[in-house]
Amino acid sequence: MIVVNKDVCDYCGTCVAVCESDAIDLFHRDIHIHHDRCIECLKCVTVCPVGAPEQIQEKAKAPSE
Amino acid sequence: MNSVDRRQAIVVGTGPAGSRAALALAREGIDVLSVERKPRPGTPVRCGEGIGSRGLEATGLPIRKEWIASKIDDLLFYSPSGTPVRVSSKSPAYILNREVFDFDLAQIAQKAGAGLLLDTTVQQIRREKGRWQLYCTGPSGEKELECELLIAADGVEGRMGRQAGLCPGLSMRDIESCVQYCMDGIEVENACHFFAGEKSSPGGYAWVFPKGEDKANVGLGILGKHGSRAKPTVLLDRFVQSHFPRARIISRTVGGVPVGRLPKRIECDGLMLAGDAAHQVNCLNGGGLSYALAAGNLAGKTGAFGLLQKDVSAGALREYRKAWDSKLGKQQVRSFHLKEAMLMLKDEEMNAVAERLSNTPDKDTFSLVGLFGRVFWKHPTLMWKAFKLLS
Repeated sequence: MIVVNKDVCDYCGTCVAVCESDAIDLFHRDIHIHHDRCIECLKCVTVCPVGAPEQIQEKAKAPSE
Repeated sequence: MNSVDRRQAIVVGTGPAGSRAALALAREGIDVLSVERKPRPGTPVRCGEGIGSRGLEATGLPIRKEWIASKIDDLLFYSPSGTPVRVSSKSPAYILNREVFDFDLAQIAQKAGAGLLLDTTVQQIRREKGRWQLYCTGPSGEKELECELLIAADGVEGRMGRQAGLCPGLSMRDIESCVQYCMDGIEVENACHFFAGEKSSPGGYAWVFPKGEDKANVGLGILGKHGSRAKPTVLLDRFVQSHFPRARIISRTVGGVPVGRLPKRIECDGLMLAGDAAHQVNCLNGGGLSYALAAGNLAGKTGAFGLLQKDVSAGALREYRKAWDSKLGKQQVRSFHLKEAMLMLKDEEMNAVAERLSNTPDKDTFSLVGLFGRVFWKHPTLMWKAFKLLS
């Protein structure tokens, strides 16, 4: 799963430009990734000038969830 | 449920392409609305702010002195080993104050009759019954807009071209990932300085653009795909530490620059792309200001004509692309091939060329074309690639 560190992100949209699945919503000072659309191609991670997006392991869901 | 705001034309983005298009439309009496996701046009600046004087004068707008931070006559290129090569441009360049410039352009468009909607981000566009529907988020929540003619000047980060099926996302070879400081205490010659090097700025370059009073834009861009090697923030800090250790950082900006070819089509029924959204950028130096201003004007005029003739079909709007191709298209395509050729040059080759050039007696009289001719004369394949479209 890709998460964006909002303390580091400058909302420039370079990630949006390269996103293979058009999965990123960019606002003036906010950003949202549609995880259902994201294919984790990692282009956003590579291209970001400041290194804000990060690929993390999703936590395993408990059987009851 | 909020009511839909219906206009003849909507321009998304109030950068140079968008505001210029809105102005062209408003001047023809078209009911046009500009939509901007930021609270204020022009801020923050994501740009080196350099423009050739001819590109600025071509707008036909009276040039305000507040737009101009400095006037540049010479370009200095530094090889990876640091050898300088001077190019005196035929006409001067300006380094702009884009917060003022962009803000003023938006004001000029408004004074001509264009509306302005701020703080509003277009999330999705859809074609319904011969009109464009825009689904936006604004300060009071969701907002819906509708128009007959839509101009997407929504930047390198724009998605409208993609949603309209005109272009996919940018390739990692066709984007520069950049960081720039505005700095104080930069004592350099009043010229535009360009620094190349595979390690220091892989697939890109560092720049110093003086803005007067010892201030300068100091930035660095790398080719998108090299971002896994090193981040431009780290590389810029290294550059600043080695070149300007005592200078002070006033502000920082980051962003992406498209350095690819234009999409096959930048128009479809009722829609045109302009500016960075259409990849209208010089691929070699990343400069897009004069292209954006020219394209915004062409798109606005074509759109206005189409609306008045009641035909904004793709066929009618193709005149915009034709006008672009005939005025600036070849130059832009050539810049793409030059960029591809430059990406193949190794540091040692650049060093050798710079050494040779800096030792020639007539070094002060290079033109840019002459410079590239000398860079590539030993590489006929690269020369052919770079200049095959020279008319």
